[in-house]
Amino acid sequence: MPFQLEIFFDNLLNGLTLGALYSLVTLGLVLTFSVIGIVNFAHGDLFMMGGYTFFLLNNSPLNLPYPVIALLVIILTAVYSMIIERVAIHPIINRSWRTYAITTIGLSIILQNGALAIFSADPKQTPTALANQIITPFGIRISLQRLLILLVVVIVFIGLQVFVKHTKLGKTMRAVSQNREMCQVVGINVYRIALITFGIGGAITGLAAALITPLFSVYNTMGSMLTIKALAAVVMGGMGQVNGALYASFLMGIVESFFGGYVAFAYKDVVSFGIFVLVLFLRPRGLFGKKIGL
Amino acid sequence: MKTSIQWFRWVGIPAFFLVVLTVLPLIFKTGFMINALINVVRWTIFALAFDLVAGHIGAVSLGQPIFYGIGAYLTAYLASELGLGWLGCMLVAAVLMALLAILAGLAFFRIRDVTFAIGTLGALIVTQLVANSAEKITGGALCKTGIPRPEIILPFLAKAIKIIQPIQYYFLLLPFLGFTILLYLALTRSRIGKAFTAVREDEARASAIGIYPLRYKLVAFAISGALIGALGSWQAQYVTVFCPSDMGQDITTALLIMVFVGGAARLSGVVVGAVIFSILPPFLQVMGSQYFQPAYQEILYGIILITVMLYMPDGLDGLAGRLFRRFQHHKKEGG
Repeated sequence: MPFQLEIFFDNLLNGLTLGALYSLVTLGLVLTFSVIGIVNFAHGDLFMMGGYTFFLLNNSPLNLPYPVIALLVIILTAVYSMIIERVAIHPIINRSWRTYAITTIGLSIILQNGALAIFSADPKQTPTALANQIITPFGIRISLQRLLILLVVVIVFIGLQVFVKHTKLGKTMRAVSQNREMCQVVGINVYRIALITFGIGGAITGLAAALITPLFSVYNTMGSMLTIKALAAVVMGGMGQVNGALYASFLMGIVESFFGGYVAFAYKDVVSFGIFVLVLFLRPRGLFGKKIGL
Repeated sequence: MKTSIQWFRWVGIPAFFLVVLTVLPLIFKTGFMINALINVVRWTIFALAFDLVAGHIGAVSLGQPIFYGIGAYLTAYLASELGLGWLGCMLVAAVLMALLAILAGLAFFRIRDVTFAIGTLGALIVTQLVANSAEKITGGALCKTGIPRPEIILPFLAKAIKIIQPIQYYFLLLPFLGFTILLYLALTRSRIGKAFTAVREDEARASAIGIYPLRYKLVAFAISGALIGALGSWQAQYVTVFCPSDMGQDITTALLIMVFVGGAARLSGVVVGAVIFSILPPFLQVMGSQYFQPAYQEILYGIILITVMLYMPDGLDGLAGRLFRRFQHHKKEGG
């Protein structure tokens, strides 16, 4: 196959949007991971809940415009996330990551099967007007929805940086991520920070759901693969490094897109996880992990 | 007094467990019973092997079904292409999976804790996806079919016994469980077990007193891999069909639940967890099928899981131990 610039850019753009999509899902996870140390196996299912919420609102007789629906999905997903924190995470917050893992796996089972009982197993599609509008700048086909996702990721990323570095709450969250006991000593309410972190993580996940759902279908088990990819991105980025996790998500998206486009579509997930495993071998602390001496 | 209790705990309970498992199918010969027992025995072996690494070494490998799957595919090849017998298949699978575990361990033990868990989970997904896509070797998503059933040749019988009935398979599996329990006890109750604990609790200190952590990690990983590989080989010959979905993540989930809810790094805990959580799903299914649909059974399962995690921090075994101690305490005060 001769090298064609158009196909190359097609794949690149596709990879970028896929990466943007992964990074939006990863962001919510890496926040709770880095601040509270929660290994959340139910994160993808939170995204699934956001997706179904979007589906319900979009098909409601109210005929709400897309931005309003998106806002509602963001708020509701944040609320779900905070409820989850209160019910399941709060009582075990001082326990080991194994407890986190099993509890969130239990949560994931409940959420997936709850969705199955309510919505049945067939995928639901909710295309919006934006997803169907395709523009072709320089001969590259792209839907406006994908462009919007890219734009939003950049905005969210910058917003999060500003929030974490320059607001009091953001600084508190960073402090909690570094030493929880000391924070308690100086009078920071760690439980409140955990709740807020879950709220922010939920809001970002809701945003992801509102942006991504129009492009794909929603089904009850969609969260599993997303959870694992997001966890892989978190680990690859260097255990709880927000920036690292984002770069790792983009790396996975681009690699998947190029491999799927040029080599073999069936093996694209293999390569994506293969790179993850390879990164662990070459750099056990992740791509951007800092070396901590023993 | 204390020693006799310990003796009962380490020898009596496993022996009693094995005797019950031997007698039960001879009394209740219903198909449901046999299937439930096969489930119990299979999961107990699996959970014990998983616990050797996850509980004793503290390296929670979420990728253990890899050995199960490769063991099964290997058996499919060895039995149908090379005509190897059932025991030969299981042994070859065990040896090769031990070697694979050592190789994988050399690479994966560079990482630890959560990273190790998620890394091995990644490896599992890669393996499963490859099994799904490599249709020539594994049959892909349409499964590998036609794996030969075991045949036992006894010297005083003219004809080989073909193993077909579930109960026959059950009695092939039961000695394997006995062997696994013996091996588990021999490893964990000996010096090696103490070294395992030292490595789990503090690697730096363990190496300071002359315990080389990687060596013990590899020993545990290799034995766990060998046991799981042999189990996969048995499974392939039992069902005669093996699919990529049979080595999926749900196995890892079940193992995590059995070991950490039952009580990690303790024989009684792992066995209790394996027994309860291998019986619970079919039990919920039978009891619940009149009242609610499958989704609600799974939800109930999830709720049970979370409740146990929230209210019994050291697992079912720990809870039993606490109750037992409280009981003894009361008795002492009373008498």
